[in-house]
Amino acid sequence: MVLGNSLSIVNASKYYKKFKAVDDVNLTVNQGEFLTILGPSGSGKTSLLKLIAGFEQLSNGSIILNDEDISKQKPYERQIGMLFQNYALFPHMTVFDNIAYPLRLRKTPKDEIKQKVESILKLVHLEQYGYRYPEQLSGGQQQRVALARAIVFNPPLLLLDEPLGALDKQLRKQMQLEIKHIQKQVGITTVSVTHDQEEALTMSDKICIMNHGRIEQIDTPENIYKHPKNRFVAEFIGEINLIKGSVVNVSEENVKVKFHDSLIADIERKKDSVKEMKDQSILIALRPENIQVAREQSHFQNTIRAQIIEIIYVGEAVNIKTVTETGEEITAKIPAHISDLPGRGKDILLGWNPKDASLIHDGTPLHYY
Amino acid sequence: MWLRIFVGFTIVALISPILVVIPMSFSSASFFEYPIPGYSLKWYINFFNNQEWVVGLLRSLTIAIFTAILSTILGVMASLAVTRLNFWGKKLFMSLMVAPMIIPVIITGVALYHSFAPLNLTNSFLGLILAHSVLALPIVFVTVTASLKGMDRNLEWAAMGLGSTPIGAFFKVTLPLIRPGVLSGALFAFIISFDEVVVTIFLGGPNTKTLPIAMWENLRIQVDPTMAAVSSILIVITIVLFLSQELVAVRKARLKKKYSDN
Repeated sequence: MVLGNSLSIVNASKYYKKFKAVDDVNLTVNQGEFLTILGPSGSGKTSLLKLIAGFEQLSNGSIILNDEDISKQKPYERQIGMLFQNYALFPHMTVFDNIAYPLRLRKTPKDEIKQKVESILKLVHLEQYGYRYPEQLSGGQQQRVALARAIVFNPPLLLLDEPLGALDKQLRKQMQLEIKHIQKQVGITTVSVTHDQEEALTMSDKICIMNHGRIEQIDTPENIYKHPKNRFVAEFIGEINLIKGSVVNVSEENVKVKFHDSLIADIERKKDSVKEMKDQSILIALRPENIQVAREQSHFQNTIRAQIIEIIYVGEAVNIKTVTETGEEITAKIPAHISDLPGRGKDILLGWNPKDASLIHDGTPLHYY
Repeated sequence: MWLRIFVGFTIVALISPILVVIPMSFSSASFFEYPIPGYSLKWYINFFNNQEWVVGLLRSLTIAIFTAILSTILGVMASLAVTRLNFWGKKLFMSLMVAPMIIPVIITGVALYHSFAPLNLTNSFLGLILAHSVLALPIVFVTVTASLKGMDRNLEWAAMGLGSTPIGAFFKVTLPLIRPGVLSGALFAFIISFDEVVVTIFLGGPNTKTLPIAMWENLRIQVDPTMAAVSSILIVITIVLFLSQELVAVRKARLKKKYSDN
């Protein structure tokens, strides 16, 4: 089995004239890890991938793969497997020849090629398809052939460029898991680029959120979702309510935040969250699914009264849009089986636990278009 | 329905004058005349017995083959440059590449004569191959550029990512994919050279009397049905070339289908 090697990107920058596509990026991917670079278009994620692959040259910094600086190497010297969005299978070659292509370039003996291609076809469940042409396969099958071709020569690193962008939703979910299983089975270090946050959350060991060529946050999918470091990350991943407030008191475990002039919320202090200071203005970040609703009394520590403006049924859950007295909109997401909801225009009590909210700095405005 | 009739009429009107020479070439009469009094192969025999015709045919074939090779290589390289690179004066370069197609051939002929004469390239095979390549280059350039534009650039990146050098990627991936465009470009180049008259008159001499020049001289001095025989041979060569290209494409599609049925 292949063992991937760790990848480090050190102080990497890429300028196009004055435009900074990638701006002083530092990141490390450990051996066998699956890292997804996630960001809106123009965030520099694709540029970063091209830099790693060698299709673009760094303006500054270095890329280190397996203790070797590869940033000056040509793409074909780097030994990196890459999976393109539109598969990039060679249409004039059979599936077998496509997968054998990188092996033939490496002057692998014939019988070894045959054996390797057959075993990798087995891995991607396409044993019967060796003599077909790519155009005779479905999208998902083509994707698996492309994956097989990208890893058959045991590269130390696998790059995925919007790997599932061309597939329909159903197939995409299936392929997310399949690629992830194969990646874990082979143990190859993987860097993927996508703008699909669900894909990032499902597939990755770590997610790196990029914006304007810079890294906003790198962490596990769970931590990114639960504890976004700043406003951009909070709003980019999933739905979130941001409530303005200011710090009134900081203790060992909790931060007391004043909001809506008079209300006080207790928020659990997280290890590496922002450095809270008294009187500092701050945002309480609250996922809709962490908000509970009640008619009169709530057993939650933090509550706020609001008026229902819209109720949206989304299948497994109901989104309740409310507006507070101060005019802030807050959305709660509750399981659909709770039936005795007050109707539109009625007042309601929203409540949440101290541990379910996080605090982020105010002031980083949201602009990523 | 009316459209079909109209198209059919157009085709007949365009092609029938050309095809008339074929029955004429089998005539036993010594002049062009209708109706044909009797059939005979004597004009074909006359053609192959006449040293001047046969040598002219061989010269034309040789020059056309080399022209096709030279203009295809140059045209493919120019197309690659235009589709893969951004360089200063690219628009101007593209216009210049197709200029020989637009400039009246007689001007090209005069110009080439003036520039080739001091270099001793008149009355030589090399001179004619170069001159014909100038005329054939635009068509190769246009067809190959079109194929390259239709090709997915990612395939080349993929090949390089998998460990191929850029040149390796060109021969293993790009070239097979643009082959239809390259082949038809080469075929057109061959035919442009094969029936070229104007520039050849300027640059040619006794050593380089090609088949079209021989025909031209024959027409001016005497007219006998050998001309019809020569024309028929040229028509057949052209048709065979184009059909063979079609056949290769059809056979390839069938082979592909056979594989997929297994």
